[in-house]
Amino acid sequence: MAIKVTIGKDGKVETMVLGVKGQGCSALSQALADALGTTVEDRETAEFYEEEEATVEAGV
Amino acid sequence: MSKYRVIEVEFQSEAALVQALEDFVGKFGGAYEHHEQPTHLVGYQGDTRPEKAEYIIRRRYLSSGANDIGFARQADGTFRAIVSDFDAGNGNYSDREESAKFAFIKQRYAYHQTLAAAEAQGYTAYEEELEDGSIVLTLERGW
Repeated sequence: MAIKVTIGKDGKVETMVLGVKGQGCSALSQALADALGTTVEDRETAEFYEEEEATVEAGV
Repeated sequence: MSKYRVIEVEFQSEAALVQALEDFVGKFGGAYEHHEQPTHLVGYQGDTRPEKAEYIIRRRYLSSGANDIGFARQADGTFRAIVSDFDAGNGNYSDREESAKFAFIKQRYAYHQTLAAAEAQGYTAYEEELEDGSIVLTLERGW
């Protein structure tokens, strides 16, 4: 479980939660959004679901 | 529950702003000014502008033809970046040297803010820089 934060050369920030289990990363994701500025796009991605399944299968 | 976000940076933290300004000086040289009382910015023709700010990077450290860039403290404690459309690289001005420098400050600010938020919640950050100049921070926490 991790969060990947990509900070572009233009200063734009993208955050992606990888392999969610529990609320920890979501809490950090929200804290980051609050600390950094205004969320201009917010969605769930197909990659997220794949990542989650893989994590569950691996028994992590 | 949201998993992917795009965030437009705002300068909320004075500590992270100062770190970003220090990074600016480290990379490009020059200096930034910190004033207890807001101080006038100077325009590209040497004209005193009406805008005032507590943190200022003077135009000579930005590029020829740039205006001063300022960060002005707001009533809520956050800072508003005072930067002209020209200097911000909006519209047709995207190639300006000072646009890249302003973007650098935003990037470094976001970097320091992210590390601070991650540390506050007990996360460890792993850092890498991509070829396109993006910084990737992977935040992990053991259980």
